[in-house]
Amino acid sequence: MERMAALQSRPWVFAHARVIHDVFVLAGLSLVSLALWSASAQAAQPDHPSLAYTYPSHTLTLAASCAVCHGTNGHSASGMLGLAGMPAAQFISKLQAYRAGSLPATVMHQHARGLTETEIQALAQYFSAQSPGKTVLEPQPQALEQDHD
Amino acid sequence: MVGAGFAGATLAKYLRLWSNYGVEVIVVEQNRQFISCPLSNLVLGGSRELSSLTFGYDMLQRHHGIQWVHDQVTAIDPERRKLTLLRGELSYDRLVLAPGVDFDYSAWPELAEASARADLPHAWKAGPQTQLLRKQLEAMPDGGVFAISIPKAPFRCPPGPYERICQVAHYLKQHKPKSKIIVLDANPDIIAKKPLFSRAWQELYPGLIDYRPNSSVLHVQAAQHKLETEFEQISADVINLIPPQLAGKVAQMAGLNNVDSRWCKVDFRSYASSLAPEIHVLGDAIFSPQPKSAHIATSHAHVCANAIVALLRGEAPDPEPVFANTCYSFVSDDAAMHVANVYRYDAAKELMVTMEGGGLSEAASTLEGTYALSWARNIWSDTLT
Repeated sequence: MERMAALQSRPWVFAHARVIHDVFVLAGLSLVSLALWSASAQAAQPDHPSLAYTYPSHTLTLAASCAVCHGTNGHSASGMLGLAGMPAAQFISKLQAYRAGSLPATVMHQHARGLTETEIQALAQYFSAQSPGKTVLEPQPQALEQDHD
Repeated sequence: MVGAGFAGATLAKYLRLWSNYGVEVIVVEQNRQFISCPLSNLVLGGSRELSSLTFGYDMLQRHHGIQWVHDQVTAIDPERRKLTLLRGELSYDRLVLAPGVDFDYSAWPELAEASARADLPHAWKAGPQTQLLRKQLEAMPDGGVFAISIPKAPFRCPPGPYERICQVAHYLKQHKPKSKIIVLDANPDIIAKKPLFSRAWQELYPGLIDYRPNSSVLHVQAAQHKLETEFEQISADVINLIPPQLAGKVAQMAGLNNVDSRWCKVDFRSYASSLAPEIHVLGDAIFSPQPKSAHIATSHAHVCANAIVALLRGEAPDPEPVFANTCYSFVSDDAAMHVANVYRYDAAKELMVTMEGGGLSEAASTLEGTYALSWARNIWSDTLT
């Protein structure tokens, strides 16, 4: 139920996704029709008229780098501190304290010292704008198929 | 997108996200399951099952509308912008390759046939070989010898062999304490996290690990379980031969492995190949001074996804991308340590360079063990959902 709720909170999943698990199985496509299908997929216009995104790519790359420990857009899957919705001033003062060495850390001082002031501020804005409390999805473990390369 | 490891799966997701679902993404992946190399050494140590590192791609496909083709690429035609697959053809506007690494057995003609090395798993791609190596360790007698051969750098996951030695030692110490590990390292020294690994070996596994630098394996007698270096011949009950590596087969097929005929040179602002600007290469297959890690692979994907969106808009990609790497290694079943750095594009050097301030853990700890598991759960969630 939690997972369904999480999905429903993301209306874009249904609004824009085109679900094709395996085009061959689904459509039973032959070699020729696959080529045609591929061509038509390319000819299709984007769902959105504009490719505009709110944040500069520099910030998106950096924020995504944080995701590896802190979760997508700061929504953490584990006990690790989530960054989504953290007030910008709090984010900035934490990162500055890590840089100065006044806040104990195992790893964050090493990351904070590699960033510029401007980058820290941009990340603070980015994460403060994410709504906190989203249920985070995790992939489920499964038995290994022995034909794996 | 050819290949859906950490780099490829991340590219597919973030290209959809950052184009506001405006770019059609088709993934071609030959395996039905994703198996995490990070944490897979713990399977050898006995504290994890491989199934706990094995996942499907269904959530990623469904949540982001990524079109998925379970097949294998057999040819790439850059002029016609077409891929030939076992079961059909695909055309593309932009092609991204994340083929991982391929293994080079050419130094050992006696192992040219796959059947000749069936008993010598590299286990350097998590999967059936990891399970085989674990079974061999379980079958090894107390008092036996485990030999591991480490190739010259660069290779996938520079701390990986040394973490593996910790994990095998952890298992042997508990269950087969009279046994020994012989490390034949082709490098002149431990190449990653040296002070931390040296300390772990001394403190946790005294007398168990016999480390021999500058030791390339010259000949292999698989049936007799023997290895020969320039200096000596070694008999071992279990042999973990990790071969030298190069860019994965699809990159070789496209002829993009133009650095030492092994790795692919790319522009670090877009990951476009230096030989074919409309083909991007990500992950372990590229030539780069950064470690070939999962976190770095996802960072390549982030920069590349942003660059593709910018290029489709007719804009220039970010001229100075910045990203981080955090890489944990387990020294036992519950204690870990890390190396972390921030990297920034340097236009004069045309490389990502290391920023001041990064470095290693002070010491391995169980606190960092919990952070390492947390890292894994978040990177799996980010990459696969």
